[in-house]
Amino acid sequence: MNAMGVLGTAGQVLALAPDEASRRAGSKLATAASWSGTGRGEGAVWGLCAGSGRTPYRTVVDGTGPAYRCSCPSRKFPCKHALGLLLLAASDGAAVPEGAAPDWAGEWLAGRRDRAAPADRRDAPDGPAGPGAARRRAERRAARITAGAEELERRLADLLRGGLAAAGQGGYGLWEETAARMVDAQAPGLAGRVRELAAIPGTGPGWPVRLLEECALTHLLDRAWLSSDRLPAPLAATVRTRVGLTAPADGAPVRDRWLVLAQYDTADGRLTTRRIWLYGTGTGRTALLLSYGAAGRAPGLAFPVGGVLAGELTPYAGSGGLRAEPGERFEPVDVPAAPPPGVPVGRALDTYGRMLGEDPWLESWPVTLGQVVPAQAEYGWQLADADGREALPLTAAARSRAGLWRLVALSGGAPVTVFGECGHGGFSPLAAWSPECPHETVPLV
Amino acid sequence: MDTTAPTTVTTEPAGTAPSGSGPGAPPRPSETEVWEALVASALLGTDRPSPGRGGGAAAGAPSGAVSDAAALLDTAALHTVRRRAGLLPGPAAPRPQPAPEDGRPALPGAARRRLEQLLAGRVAPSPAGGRRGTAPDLAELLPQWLALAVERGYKGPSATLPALLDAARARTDLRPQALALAGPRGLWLARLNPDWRFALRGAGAGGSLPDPADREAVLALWEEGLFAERVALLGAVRAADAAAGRALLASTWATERAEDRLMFLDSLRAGLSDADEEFLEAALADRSRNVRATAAELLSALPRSALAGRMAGRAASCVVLDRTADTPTVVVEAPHECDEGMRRDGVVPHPPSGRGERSWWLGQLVEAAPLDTWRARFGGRPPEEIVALPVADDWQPELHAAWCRAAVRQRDAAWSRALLGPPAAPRATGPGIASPAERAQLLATLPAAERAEWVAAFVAAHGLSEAFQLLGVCAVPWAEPLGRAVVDALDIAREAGSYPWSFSGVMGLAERCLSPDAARHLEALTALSAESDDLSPGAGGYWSEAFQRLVATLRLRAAMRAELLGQEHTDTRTRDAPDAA
Repeated sequence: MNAMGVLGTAGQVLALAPDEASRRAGSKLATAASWSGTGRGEGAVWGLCAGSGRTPYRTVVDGTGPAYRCSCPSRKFPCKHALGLLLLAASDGAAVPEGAAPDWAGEWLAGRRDRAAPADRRDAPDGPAGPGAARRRAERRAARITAGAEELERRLADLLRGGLAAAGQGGYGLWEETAARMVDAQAPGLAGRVRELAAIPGTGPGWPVRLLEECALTHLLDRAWLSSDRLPAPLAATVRTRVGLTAPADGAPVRDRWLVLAQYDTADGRLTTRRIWLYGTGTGRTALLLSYGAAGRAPGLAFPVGGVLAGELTPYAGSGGLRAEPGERFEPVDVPAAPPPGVPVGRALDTYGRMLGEDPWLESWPVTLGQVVPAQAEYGWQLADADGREALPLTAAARSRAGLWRLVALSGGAPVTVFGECGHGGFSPLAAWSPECPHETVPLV
Repeated sequence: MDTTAPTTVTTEPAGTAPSGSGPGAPPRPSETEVWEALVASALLGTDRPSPGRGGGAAAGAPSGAVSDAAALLDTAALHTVRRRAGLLPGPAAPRPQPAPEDGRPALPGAARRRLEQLLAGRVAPSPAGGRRGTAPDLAELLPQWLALAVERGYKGPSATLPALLDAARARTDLRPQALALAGPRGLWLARLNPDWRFALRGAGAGGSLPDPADREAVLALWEEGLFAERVALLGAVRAADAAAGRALLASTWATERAEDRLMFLDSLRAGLSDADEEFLEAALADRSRNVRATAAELLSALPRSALAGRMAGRAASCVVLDRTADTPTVVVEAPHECDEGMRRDGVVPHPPSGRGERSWWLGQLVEAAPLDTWRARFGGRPPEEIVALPVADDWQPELHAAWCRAAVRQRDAAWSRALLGPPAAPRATGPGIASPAERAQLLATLPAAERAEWVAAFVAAHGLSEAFQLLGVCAVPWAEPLGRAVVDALDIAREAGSYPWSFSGVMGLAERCLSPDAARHLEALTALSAESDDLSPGAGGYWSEAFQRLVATLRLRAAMRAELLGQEHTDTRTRDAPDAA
């Protein structure tokens, strides 16, 4: 018995860890000596872990979520106890015997599954005062955003009239203030763009070009919002998303076996954003799950990279339909999955270019490159077609990541398949597969 | 501005050749120029008149002369999106040399994941100073894992090579095994990243060496290779054919630099035999003093060499047996001078400060003389009896210490045994052995089983407080009765009320070296000690924790081993562990 019945291999378990510290702490707890009352059954594991207190912590993991519950006070998610328990189950089958769940674990598991059983989602709450009030609220917010967009337009026009060169000389405080006004206008998308504008003059040679580009795109977003009633519906939805209006995921649900391509976090101030890329092995669809963690907490969603999970995704409207909301229940499937079919670098750029037609503000688009070789050009690393003609440079960030070396090592100078985000700043590799082990996803972030 | 070559790099400095719309595009110069005009206007501000504006760069194109900020942004947005949508790939750089083939088999899946776990654990050393807890110390298990993986002939998993090289970079003790596992692909990778340059310097560049039998390739590398490659090559040739290695070195000996000669000479230590004497004898006349000393040292390890004979003659004239005394006694008359011949044979004339000249010279003579000399000098007595002879005038510590060094250098088990004495003997009355380090060196000359038995008896008699270095030279995993003796001694220490951290060195060794089979009878200790809390405050809990960690580590080692041998992971609690040989 290995751990596939619960959550996969030790490597996959470690991929669930919210950070390096948890990974270490979890590994340390992956010994039978730390645990008592361990057991497994129906896709779940449970156990008691002695902590510093008098009563041991009660840890349960439901592999079908995956979902975790632990009585420890940790704010990490999953906590080190859940990780340790999963690692123990993965490495030492006998230490976590098959059995019936004790009451404390069973109740939670049963509750979870009851909730999951009626597959229809809870309807979006209409608010206390019914549909009419909700509509009025939406209108009020739209009006505020419109006021914000108009103000931002004036601000941009001022900037251009005075010249970008002046912006290089410390207009930072002014930008901060503008960003705060956009937050007040309930347009977080605009606020985010403004903060990025403020940072551009500090990004090295060529910044005026980049600043003009970003100002122009922000201007484009303002104009699009201000005339969104005249836009085609999908583009209007994209504009709403870009401005920062969240609509519930309401696309037609897609059921598939999803290969987890990548999971990585980016921290922006107090907010941690986790991005999870999934590939539907049956539908061929690529989906992006987003999960947020505020104030130093790890985002709530954690998927094992390289694993295959069966479940349902509900797409959001707009921005090319990439983003989706995961259903309640995801079950690990013990089948090897091949990577998405790869394309040459030219096709990857074409796809990005085409998608800009649907969403001009797209920074990048997920693509899988096939038969590419990491090579060193004068400016840094690139991914070149195996025929040696065309190549895509890696993004500046990707060139300094440790994952670059995993990619180079995996390739050994020979063609590999690479999944990543392809955009105007270059290609950011996220996962790779070698021809020798096509079923093994090597994470690069 | 730049919209070119590696097209998607917007951070490229301006000035690369404009080819944004591809070679086949119609001559429409305005595309780039319009954008540049826009950037210029934006930089200066639309309120200011700009020389480029209205100048008719593109006649009739309204975008060439933007007078209004909003219109400028409109045009810039159009250009930006159009440029992004029309990005073309750049030219491919020359493809890197492919990594050499590595014919070794891939690791079993479980072993590969274990390696990743161990390497991840390496980055996180256990919290310093604090309690170590009950969890195994993963970083300490990495050397064992690597050694076994290399011994089994596996190749390192490609994607893990960066982590492996990082580990080897941080810990020099891991380097030989880590680099051996990484193999030719590891070296290939190390060439690409300056952080890993150490891998190219270090010895054990195993993968890229020619076959020692391929004379031409060997000569080519020997004459043109880097120093590290040459050291590795000489080692490999010497291991395959000792005479060929010596001949290779002799072919260029006269032209090598002094510090290189020293390193090369050192590689003759492996496979040293009487056949090397002529070459070494010649090296006694070397210009470099260090080379001369090393040559002399190597020659003295050859009991039949002329140098050994000369040293025997000198030593024998200084140490004689006085048979006229009531009990036969060894009488020492240390040399009065260090003559030219002695210097040539590697005797260092000037003692370190605090030591007398004459005893310093004596030590060197005795150390370099073949031990067989003494049997003849002392009436055919075996080593035990010679060691037991009384020595006149307090020369005993000096003489015995020199004999110890000789026994180690000449790897003489009989003399080592005699000098070690019986393990249970009270230390004060044993033969004149100064330090545990010397004992450990002597032990290393004994066969593994005898070593384990001697240390087991030592531990049983004297406990663990001085056993650390001795345990360190025992073969891993510890053979019985050694494992048993260590566990019993730990148990005794616990019952005596000591704290486990007084034994943390031995505990750490036990975690790494005890046979995983020992986990079964250790289990009892982890439970039992939890109750006997009344000896020292809290000691019981700490001991229980220490034993739990020991058991957990042993289990983990058994699992690691099973994974590397490709066996089903069995558990020592339910079944016998796989035989850990």
